[in-house]
Amino acid sequence: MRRGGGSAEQVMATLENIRNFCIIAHVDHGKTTLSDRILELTHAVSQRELKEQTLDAMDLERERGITIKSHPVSMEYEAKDGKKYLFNLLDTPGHVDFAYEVSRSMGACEGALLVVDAAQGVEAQTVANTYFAQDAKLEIVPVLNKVDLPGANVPEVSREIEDILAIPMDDPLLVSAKTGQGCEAVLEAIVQRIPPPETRGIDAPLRALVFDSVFDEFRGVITYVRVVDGSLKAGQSVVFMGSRVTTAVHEVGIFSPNKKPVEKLEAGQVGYIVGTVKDPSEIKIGDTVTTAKLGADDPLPGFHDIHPTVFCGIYPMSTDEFQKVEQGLEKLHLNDSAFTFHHESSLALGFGFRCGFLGLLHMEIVQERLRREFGLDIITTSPGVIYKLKMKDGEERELDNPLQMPDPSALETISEPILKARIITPSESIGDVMRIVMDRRGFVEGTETIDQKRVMLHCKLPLNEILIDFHDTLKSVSHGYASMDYEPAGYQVSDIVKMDILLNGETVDAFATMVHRDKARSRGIQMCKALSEAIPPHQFKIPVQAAIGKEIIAREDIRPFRKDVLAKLYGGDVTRKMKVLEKQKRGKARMKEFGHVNVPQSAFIAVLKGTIKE
Amino acid sequence: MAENLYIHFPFCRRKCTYCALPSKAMRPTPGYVENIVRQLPPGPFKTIYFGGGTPALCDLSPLLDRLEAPEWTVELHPLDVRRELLETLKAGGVNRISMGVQSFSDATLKDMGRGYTAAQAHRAFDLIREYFDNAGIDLIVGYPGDKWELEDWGFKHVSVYSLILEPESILGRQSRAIPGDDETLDRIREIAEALDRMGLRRYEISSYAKEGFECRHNLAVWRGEDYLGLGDGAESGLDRDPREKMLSLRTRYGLDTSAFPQWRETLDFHVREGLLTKTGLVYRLTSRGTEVCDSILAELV
Repeated sequence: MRRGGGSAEQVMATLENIRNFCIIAHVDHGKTTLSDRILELTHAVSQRELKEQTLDAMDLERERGITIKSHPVSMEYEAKDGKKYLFNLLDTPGHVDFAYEVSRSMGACEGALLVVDAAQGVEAQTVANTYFAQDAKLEIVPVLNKVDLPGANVPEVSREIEDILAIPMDDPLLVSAKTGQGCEAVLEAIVQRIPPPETRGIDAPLRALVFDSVFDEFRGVITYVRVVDGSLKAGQSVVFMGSRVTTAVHEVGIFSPNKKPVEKLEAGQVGYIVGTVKDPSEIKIGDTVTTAKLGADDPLPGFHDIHPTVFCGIYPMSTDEFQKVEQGLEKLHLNDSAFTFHHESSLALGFGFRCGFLGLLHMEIVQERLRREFGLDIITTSPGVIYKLKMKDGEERELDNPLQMPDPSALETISEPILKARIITPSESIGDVMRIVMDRRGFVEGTETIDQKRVMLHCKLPLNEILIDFHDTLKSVSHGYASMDYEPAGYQVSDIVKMDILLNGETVDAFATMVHRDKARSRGIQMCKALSEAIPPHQFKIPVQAAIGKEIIAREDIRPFRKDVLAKLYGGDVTRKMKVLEKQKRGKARMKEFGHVNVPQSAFIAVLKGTIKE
Repeated sequence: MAENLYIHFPFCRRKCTYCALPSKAMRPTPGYVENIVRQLPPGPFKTIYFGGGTPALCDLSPLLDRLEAPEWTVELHPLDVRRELLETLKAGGVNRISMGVQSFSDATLKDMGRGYTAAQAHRAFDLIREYFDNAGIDLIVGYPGDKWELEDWGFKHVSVYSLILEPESILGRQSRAIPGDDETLDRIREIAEALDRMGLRRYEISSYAKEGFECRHNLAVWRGEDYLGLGDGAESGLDRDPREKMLSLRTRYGLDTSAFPQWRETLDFHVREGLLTKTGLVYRLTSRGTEVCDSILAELV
């Protein structure tokens, strides 16, 4: 039940009383709880609806404590000055993989609430998200959350925010989103400290920033926009300036919190457009919408196409599920146009797809959704990155699949993508963390003290080296306390080679991987070990080998099993025997066969994780 | 019509500890044999096999009166063996006896619940030999604590089975430790060598015989010929799936793939791995191959 106040659409949307903001935080610092509290205080949703909303979220998001996507909400707030304000709260994905989307969501805001756990202090994602917000020139309002916890240390965490993030903490907001303590003050701070939108005017040519889009089965693509200049209404014809797609506008509306059609959206407002676009990949996040006639001359700054950085093959476990996997990918793509996929085939795995992702987490999410939401049994190959090849004949090309690696003799150089990473770790683990960074061919450019117990390392690392297992290793050497964030930092020439895996003397293309020459031997041993433990014994000895070109660099043998049963024969025995054989055969149906070696799915996982499953 | 007949007699004096075959410690059901007689087709049969269970617990005369075949085997328990029975069987046309000895160790025989000593079994076999030239025994390898030297009683045929812990057997329920695969295989190899010295050669994974005394009934079954099974617990193999011919790989005569080109690629692979040899289109197990025959067959299914 609403206890008062009004719904968002009743507020006269004048620029002065609009506040567009987002909430940024490290995982588990209380972003969701604070947003729920704000929704509740502004009566935008009832308690019951809040609960439903939480349940609506994808299982995966809740399990991982991350938000992949949620839609914006508009609220009305009656401030202490007696005026009514329109709040638009925009969600940001929060994870580095979605950095571009984060920056675009921020581009639709004037301010950000920076939530920091008063007991945990500043973490890697706090830093990364703050940098994004500062780049987007947002007014940052720091909020210390969980101040009711016994471990809360307000002076210390305030000092960290001032020192590391250079945000003044003269008048800190002290909050417990859980109990509600201090949350009213947050609403006042939004009014007082976050500036109203700036615009060229309601009558200026339309410019609206696309910050998200969703696919609706019946209505096609619904585009989320922040109107910067001018106004937008149903019946207009608009053009996306970047992609040059034109559409008629059937409906515009706001989020209150459910989609509600309105007559028009004006400068400063956040809302949605339903048009005629059916293909989600035509709508690019960060694009500018203007009117087809008398439109703006210049788009809003910052738009660029985003490209996948991490690649892997996705194959159906059984070849007759190829179409199901294709349909699954197509459906997922409707709501996540950031990943790419195209047909690929492997000698070992048959027909499948080469898929590109924004990052590791993005890759895991897509794989996991294919498994859970579509019930598909898939095999994924080792993740890889895009290498830049310079050929001896001067040609330059990109390589995202080890199988397309040209003969090394034709190669001048290979370059690999490098990351700039920030790792925050307890001081006592700094030695171990530096060691794993160096193990991964990274180097530490500098360290910065955060408080008496923690330091921040600024590192450079090859993306290739963190694809497998890095995050887990980091957590394990720091007893779970280290946090990391990273951003791309260009390419660097490197001695990268293609490593093959041979089972019983035959190359299994699905296991091919790109690796630095210095790491090839240890990676080869690791892969051979993992495979030799994941592949069950056969009737014969199976050598598992790693090779660069013709040179074998690692080998493990799978010892044969000794015997199967020699049973007594009686009248019904032959029928029974055939049944036993058939059962034995069925047990192998879920394995992939390479040159008479049966490889269970767990072997693919073991190789990908680089670990041996007990 | 099937030329091979199997009749099952699911009655025993007591249940042996290792046994998971369809049989019960009980007196024969009245009318069991007469009932089978009523089901008998006219014949003729190439092979007949009476198995169990313990066939001799029944009065077999109604069957002895009706049947005849070039090879006719009856399984006997050493405690069954009396002159009177042997005379009756011989007069009825039976010409092959297989006696379940299982072990030459008195301690093991006691543990199994067999109810005789090795010496008693030996005497029983000698008596059988007075009536039947074609006589052999069954042995079990890998029974916990079992230990013996193979004795030569003048066998024409010996079957050697490795113990399988079946969950429905007494042993299976006791969860006792049984010897490992390596030990069992070493043991089988020793026995095979000893039998070879006695002139019995291995002609099927678990069967050894003097030249000309191979069990034609079992070979027929492994080669995929039809067989009619009568009696409780017996299954028939009529209009058998041609693929069941793959079971002939178990025999020293090998698997002829003239009619099964689809199997050759897999079999050729195992030739390269040393598990099979190939002569023309016929594949045979090597001695290593005999140890993993089932898993090779499972790949052909």
